[in-house]
Amino acid sequence: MAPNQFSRRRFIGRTAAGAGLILGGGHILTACGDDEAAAPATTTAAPTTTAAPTATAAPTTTAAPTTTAAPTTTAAPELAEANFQLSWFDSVQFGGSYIAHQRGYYERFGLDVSLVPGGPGVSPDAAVAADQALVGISAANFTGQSVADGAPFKIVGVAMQKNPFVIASLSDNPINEPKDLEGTKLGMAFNNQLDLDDISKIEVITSDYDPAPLVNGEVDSLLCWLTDLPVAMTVQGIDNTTMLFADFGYAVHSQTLICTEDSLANKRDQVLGLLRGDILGWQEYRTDTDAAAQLTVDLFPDAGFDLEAQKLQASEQLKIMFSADTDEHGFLWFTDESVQDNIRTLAALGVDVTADLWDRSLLEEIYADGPVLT
Amino acid sequence: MDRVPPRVLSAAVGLIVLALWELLARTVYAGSYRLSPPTAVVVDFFEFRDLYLRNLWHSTKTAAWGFLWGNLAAIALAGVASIIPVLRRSIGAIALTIFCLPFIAVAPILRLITGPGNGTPIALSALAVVFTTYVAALLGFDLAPGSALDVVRSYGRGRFAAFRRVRLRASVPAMIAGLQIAAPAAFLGAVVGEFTGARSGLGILTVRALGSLNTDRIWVIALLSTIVATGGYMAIGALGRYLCPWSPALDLGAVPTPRQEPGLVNRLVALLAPILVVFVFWYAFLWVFQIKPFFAKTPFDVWAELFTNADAAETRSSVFGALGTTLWTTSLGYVAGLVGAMVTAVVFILVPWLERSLMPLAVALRSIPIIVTTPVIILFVGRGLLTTTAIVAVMSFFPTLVNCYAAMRRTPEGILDVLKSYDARSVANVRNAYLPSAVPALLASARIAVPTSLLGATVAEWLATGDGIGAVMVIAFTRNDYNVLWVSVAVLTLVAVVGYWLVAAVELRALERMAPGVSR
Repeated sequence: MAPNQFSRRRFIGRTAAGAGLILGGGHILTACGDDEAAAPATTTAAPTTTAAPTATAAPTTTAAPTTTAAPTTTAAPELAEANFQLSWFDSVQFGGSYIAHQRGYYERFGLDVSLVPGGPGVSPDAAVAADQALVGISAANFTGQSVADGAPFKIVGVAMQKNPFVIASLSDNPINEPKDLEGTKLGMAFNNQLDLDDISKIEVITSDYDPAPLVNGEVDSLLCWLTDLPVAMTVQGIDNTTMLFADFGYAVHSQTLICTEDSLANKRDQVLGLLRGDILGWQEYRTDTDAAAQLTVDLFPDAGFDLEAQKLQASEQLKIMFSADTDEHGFLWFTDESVQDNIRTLAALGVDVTADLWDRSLLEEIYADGPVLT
Repeated sequence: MDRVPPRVLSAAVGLIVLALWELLARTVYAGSYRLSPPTAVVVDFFEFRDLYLRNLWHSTKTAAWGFLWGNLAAIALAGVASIIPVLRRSIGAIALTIFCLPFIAVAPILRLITGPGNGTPIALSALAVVFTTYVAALLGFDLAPGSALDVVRSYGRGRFAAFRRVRLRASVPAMIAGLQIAAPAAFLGAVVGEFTGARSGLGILTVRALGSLNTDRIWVIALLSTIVATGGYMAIGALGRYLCPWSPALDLGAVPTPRQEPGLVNRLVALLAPILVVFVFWYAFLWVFQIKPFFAKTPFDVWAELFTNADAAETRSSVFGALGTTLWTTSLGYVAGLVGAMVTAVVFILVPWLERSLMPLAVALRSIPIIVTTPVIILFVGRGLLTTTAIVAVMSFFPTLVNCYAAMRRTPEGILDVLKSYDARSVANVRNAYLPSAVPALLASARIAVPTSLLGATVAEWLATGDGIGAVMVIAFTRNDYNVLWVSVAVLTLVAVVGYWLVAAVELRALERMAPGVSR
């Protein structure tokens, strides 16, 4: 029986970001051997000069912001309430936003932000379109499709410069580049359909979003996020190899911040404030990912997080969130070249978008004085 | 073996199962991240006891609110249907439609109405119980003794007084039976609801555990859910025995259909009125909640997407193609579950000690929430079309087994005595006495199993196989294709309703032939 009667073309539109939304939730990651060079080294050159109050001290859930950067929560009379719709269940994937929330960075810009968790039954695009969230976290392929369908969105920031999708394999049977896939079995959650050249040479097995089929040898590789299943395997002591799509021409902005054109026009200050607060949080995240992991574990005791897994996810995530471009222009930035790359990739996936999908005016305003927000 | 006390037998069988499980997990499945040995499950539970109890409490609390609101609504609907009989068919149609709605597509739509928070899980949990409780309550109201109703009437009091003074009280045993079924259903609704973005709960914990290779956790959650769902079922049963100790366990088999009035016009009205009511309800839903047109689709939109839009042909081929897959795998599992249940019931009748040792397990498994069992079923049958079939079979097997066995036990002694006097062998007993006795229960179970099988199938397609209409719905939702989403919901609901009524028609026919006294 045909695996999916759903039309191929429609499927492709969903490609990678499907994972983040549906079962995969982007999370952790693991060492990927190849192409380190292509990933502009980020971790070392963290700009520590910024506003981050003592990043070394693990921010505990109770601790009030300690340093000079203390927000004026008490004094600020009128905070505007705003929902920020995350793309998946809570995890350190959103660590910078937790820090911003924890330290009162959103309040500093006049906002009382609620971080709303996502899940398999949540479409951030829909939540934003339904005015249930001021800003949502989506991905360029989703948003491109929604806009093509008539939804009034703009991408105003890009948190994941590189698309987080990888092919994960076991290190004793590694997949290092696309041609290694030939003649192998690839497991993918059904809603993460992938368009590979010569896909006929690969046997695609539908699986739930779970590393077990790979570990058990039912498949040779898995389609997943750099930051979730590979991290789970590494934490379990299973050596694995990842091949990042972004290193092979798959340019799709991920963890993009979107808002409606209406908000952009009429609630511009609020969107600006949310972005500013978020940027402060992520700048601090970058200086101490372990602290961000610890904060995540403390904030959500019901999730049953494994601290080591959160730490590994937090540090692996740096590779796709920060780049030479963000060092030059600031976090969330996107260059005109990357927009063109996205347009090309999305066109290949059957989603036709123009550069109008992106709006950089907020970031240009925020970073008018340089790439580091203070 | 017939002399061994049932408790001892059950305990012995239980121990053997546990030992085998432990052995398999430590040998064949060692390192497979699929099967956890019972000892590891227990250890993991105690190691993370607070975590489990907090999440369990969260899901249970959600389910309890849904249980409360859903049942109140159902009983109120049944009350209205009882007092104003002319509305009965229409109210029944709405309740049945709600029962047939595919959860996994309804959840995201509800999320758009309720927004973030616990609203969607509670609403879903409430929707899950409405129909079964409605049927049970209405049956209870109808079972009120005629003599008592006559007394009320002789005092010149109307229907409302009769309802308040007689029917409401008379309905307690039936209502209890309905609430028993509702308990596990509410739990399932709550867990599915968590997928629309929650911070606590067993559903989320399961997804997290799957992604992080935490096999022990999956098994702890499966066991906890089973215990809670079964516990709710049994606690309500005990409450029923306390409230009405005189009442025997009630069979909810009766078809909730008033007898058909003769005449073509009456038939047409009877057929069209419920359909019209459902459409009115559909529009009212969209209007009351003021859902934006981007998400809200009317019956006309659905029609257009299916037949007149530019991509109608594509929609039709994807939706109906997927529906074909779903119906094929579902009906295989449905039939396998029903036949297996009948065969097992017969075996239990013929081999009583087996029944005594295994029946408690069957009663418990009847209320297992499907979400947490899906990973377990994947373990044994892998992923593929067979997974859906197996899950559907499991979902229809246990309730049917319990109902059919109970019906066989109620075979009139007189018939068995006659057979005995002819020196009949057990095979003849089965053919001539037990099987016919079980037919009404089998058909009643088969009717209820139509929507629940489709529900199980779509959940399995979503979580495991990625096939069929369950997958189409999830993909449509993910890519914000609300046209296809509503088309799928409408088509699947229609199929479930039609399937339900087809079995109900067979049931009515059979009851008229076999037990004229039972059909109303």
